[in-house]
Amino acid sequence: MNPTTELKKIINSFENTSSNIDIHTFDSVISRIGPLYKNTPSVITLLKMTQLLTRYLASKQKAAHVDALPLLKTIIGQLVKIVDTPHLDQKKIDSVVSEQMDRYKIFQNKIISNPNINIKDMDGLKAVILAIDWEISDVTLNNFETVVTQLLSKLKGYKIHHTFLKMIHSIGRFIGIQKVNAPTDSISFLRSVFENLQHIVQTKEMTFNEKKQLLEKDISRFQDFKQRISKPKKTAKAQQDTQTAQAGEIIPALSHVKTSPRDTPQDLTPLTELSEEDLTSDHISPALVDKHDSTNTPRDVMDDLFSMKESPADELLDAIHLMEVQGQGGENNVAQMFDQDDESQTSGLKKFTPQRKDNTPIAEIDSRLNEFFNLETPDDLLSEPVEAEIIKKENGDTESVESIVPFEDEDESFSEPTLIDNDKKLSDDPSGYETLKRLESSIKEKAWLKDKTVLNLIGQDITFLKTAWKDDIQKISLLEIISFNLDLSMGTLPENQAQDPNFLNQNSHNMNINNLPKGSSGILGKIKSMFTS
Amino acid sequence: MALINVKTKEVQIKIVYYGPGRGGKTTNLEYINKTYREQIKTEMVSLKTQDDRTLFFDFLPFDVGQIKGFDITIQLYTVPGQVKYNATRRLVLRGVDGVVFVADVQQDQRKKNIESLNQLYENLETYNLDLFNIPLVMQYNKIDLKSSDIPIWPSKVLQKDLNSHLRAPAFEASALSGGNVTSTLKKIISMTLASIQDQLF
Repeated sequence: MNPTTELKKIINSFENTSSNIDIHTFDSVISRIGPLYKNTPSVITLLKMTQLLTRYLASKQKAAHVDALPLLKTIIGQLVKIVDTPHLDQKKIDSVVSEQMDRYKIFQNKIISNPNINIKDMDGLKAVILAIDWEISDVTLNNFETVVTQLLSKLKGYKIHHTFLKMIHSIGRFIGIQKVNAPTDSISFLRSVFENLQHIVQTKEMTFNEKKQLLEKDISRFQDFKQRISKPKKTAKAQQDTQTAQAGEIIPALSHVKTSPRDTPQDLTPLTELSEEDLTSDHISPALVDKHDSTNTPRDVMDDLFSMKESPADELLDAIHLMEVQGQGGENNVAQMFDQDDESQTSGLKKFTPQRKDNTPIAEIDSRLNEFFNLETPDDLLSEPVEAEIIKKENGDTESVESIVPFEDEDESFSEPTLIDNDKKLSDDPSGYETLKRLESSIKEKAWLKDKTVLNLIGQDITFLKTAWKDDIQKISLLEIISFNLDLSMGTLPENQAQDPNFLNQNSHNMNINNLPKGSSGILGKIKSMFTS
Repeated sequence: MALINVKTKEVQIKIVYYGPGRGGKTTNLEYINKTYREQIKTEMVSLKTQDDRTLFFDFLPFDVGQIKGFDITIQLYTVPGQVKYNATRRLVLRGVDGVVFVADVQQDQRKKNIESLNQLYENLETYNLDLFNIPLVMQYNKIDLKSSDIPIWPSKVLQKDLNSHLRAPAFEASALSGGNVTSTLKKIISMTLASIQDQLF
């Protein structure tokens, strides 16, 4: 069969789809036609274009550009026409070839620069990447996988776009697998690759070479990233340890780090436990009870970003924003900026880096903190024996003993009154204010009032306060009221007093309640306010 | 690093609450802010997402008064716990003087606790600070879940997981109810001040 007739037959067999193109048969036909027209450049040119288009169609199959097959049919049609018409005017032949070449170039540009990707596709991709940036969860990772897989299939015919997407896919998958162990710049790298893809999609006038350069740059960054994450280093070891742990055995934290020689992992360190009683006690208000109280609500400084910087928090917030704006490497720049600021502000200041040296705090530190936190018993009294025990163990003098310190809370609300004689109390608390505060916390806890020991202590505190305030009739009268109410509620009031309605009035006849400071609720509050008014 | 102004006799120390996400760092600060409202006097700065997660950090500064003539100012910070915010965590750690590591006792948080502590070590390393030398207190938070159906690790397990090398003082705690929150804070302040007392007093 005449090769051109054969060619026509093949072309006619092409329908609307390019999936059935048999590249080998086509190549063999072309190779038979070629030598016959080796001295006819016009035919050779058309044959080359035909060959390239056929290969493109065979490689892209269904993903091939819709214009590819019609163009191939047209070129082959013209080729057959030239071959079958031996006396065709050369000018006409040149014009036909030139026209086909132009059409071929236009098509070439189309397949290079204009993939069928729209704004919606890019927005979808951006959304899933930002979602990962916000939180690495199964949901965000699944969404990422779905969107990227769809786009990969859609852009299969566009090498540059497809390669960008493949990189995005690989980085995203890596972050999904590594999660916490992913290098800190992984997400910013993922975002930057996406931004470059977005740039080439949105910039229609970008030439093929410009796109290629951008892609090559990102490929190089990708290779660096790959090398960096495959480097064996401390974190990799920690990661390996964690993976081993996941499989069943947990490797303690910092096992990959060289430890201080004095430390022996077998020994346990002081642990202050929280007792069942403390856990179930209902006398502590939960931390977030008045979360919505406007006076206690933490300040939202999001709106203050450009105002004068008042606190280290404002400066830190600015630094974080600056770091985000600067992207990769921004953290170092911010740190440098801080260092410069520090240098200019450090005149008159000394800086010390605290070192854990097992120093025993001087007494003033403990007493100040106890006072600030309203603590009665320094917790170090509880932990001291344990720490001593550990030192012994470190020296190897004694056997390893488990060092768990029973919990005692130093919170004001937890502190139990202790028996102290009145003389000592007077020297420790001459104004009686501390005793009053303790009395208040004791009385406030109804559960404690069932405890005889506590009641005794309350009685002692009241007696002490009566001694301390013996010259202050108002305070004494209020104390009498407290005593009376306590006795009444506890059922310990002597019968003759309980039945006498004037008893309270008799005891408070010297006190004009209207003269007491206002704005304080309750009797204890009124007494406390006397200290401040 | 602790800032000491010898002219004005002021000392400023920075304590950072560090730990895995949703471990209770912010709740610690909120409890302190609420309980010692009268003493603290300053306001707490908190930047959260809509679902109550720390976006950048929390900040609670307060003065504890004078020790041997020096005014002591404490700045408490928390870091964002979410994995991706490590750069922010590093920035918050800049100039840190003492660390409270808030671990979550829930059984499914075991790995996260370890990962977070390992990362703390690395983050401190960037400032040439050694976790083994910096004043540090461990807090095993959410111990109140004991009474619920949620499985938790005994503190001994957490001690081995997190504290077997560091040997830092450790507290079981319930930040939500305030159990041992003050003890933890007092301990870290006390340790930090003790570590610089030779320079000061």
